[in-house]
Amino acid sequence: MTPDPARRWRIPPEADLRHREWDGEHVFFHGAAGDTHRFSDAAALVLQRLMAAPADESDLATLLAKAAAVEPVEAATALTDILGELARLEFAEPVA
Amino acid sequence: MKLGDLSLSQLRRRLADNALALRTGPFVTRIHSPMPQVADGLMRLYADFPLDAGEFRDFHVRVGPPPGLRRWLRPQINFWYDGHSPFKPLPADHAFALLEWGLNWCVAGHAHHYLMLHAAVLEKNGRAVVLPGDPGAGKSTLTAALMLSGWRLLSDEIALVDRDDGLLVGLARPVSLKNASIDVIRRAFPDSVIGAPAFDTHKGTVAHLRPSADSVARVGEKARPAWVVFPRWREGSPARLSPHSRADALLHTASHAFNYSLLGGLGFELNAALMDACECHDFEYSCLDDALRVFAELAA
Repeated sequence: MTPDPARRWRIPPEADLRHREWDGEHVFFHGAAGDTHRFSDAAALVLQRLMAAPADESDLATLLAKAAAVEPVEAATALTDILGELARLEFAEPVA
Repeated sequence: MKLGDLSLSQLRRRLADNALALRTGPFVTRIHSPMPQVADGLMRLYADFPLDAGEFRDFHVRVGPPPGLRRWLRPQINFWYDGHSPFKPLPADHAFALLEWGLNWCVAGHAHHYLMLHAAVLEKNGRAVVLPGDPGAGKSTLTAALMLSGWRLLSDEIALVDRDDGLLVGLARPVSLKNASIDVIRRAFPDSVIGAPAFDTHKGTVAHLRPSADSVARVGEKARPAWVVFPRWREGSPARLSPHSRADALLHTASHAFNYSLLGGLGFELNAALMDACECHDFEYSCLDDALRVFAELAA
């Protein structure tokens, strides 16, 4: 996936995501698929942000950069991988 | 009236006449069987269980010979649920084991008003331990030893989580011992009551252990979950608990549950609430006495 700071992401409306965190480990449940996954802190941060409201990649990269205390460029690279994985698992999708 | 109030001949007659309704925790099962092994096994292992005089039965099951000539050449038995046969026929001397597997199948396949995890459950001092375990991990051996040491058995195979309050619901049915664990329990607890072994089953040799009278008498008392413990028997290992992540415990129990996905979001919420309520541990052991000491300290 090619990075696009303006591209907007959301949780698929049918996903009915649920989340628990224990001792820094994050588990999410996808209600439509019935799948349960453990995600990294970074992916969990992105998912929790998207569960609150859709967001574009630049906002998500800023969020990640602040949380990880890294440069936005570095966060943007990681974000591309995270969003690609979340899209593959259908936990997140670009807004059409 | 308890099953043990019947004489063996009365029990055989009731089974043959399809007139035995056995209550095991929240379920009532009508059992129909002409097989003497079924009557013998029930008398030996279910004597403390109540018979049900009501009209409603959750499950109607039959264990008996399949039709056809083969029954005369090589005696076999089969299990029927509401007239359907979900299993292949087995040798006739596996009749009681087949009944036990069939009763598990009935619960696991139909009781979707509970979250059902593949785990044993025992309770002590008002707190319950959930023991998920992969085959061969030593779950049933540990479950048997704990029950015979004063823990109350709720279940050996199926942990029932009440969807209304998240508490654990008891079945208190016999513990299924396999292979070497049969003699391990016999040696460690000479007074334990173990049914006739079924040899050469798909699980090897299987024999069932009678639940304690206290477990059966208190089967209606739900238990509050306090621990999820993943047992692992390992030769020479000292008995020790070590932390197990709750996230991993949820993923493991979910992947081994009978109806987690079927319940959707409710299944996740119930399983997550179980982890919220519990400390989670791995537990390695090789010596039962040491294992029991660790669990006594845990429940103190």
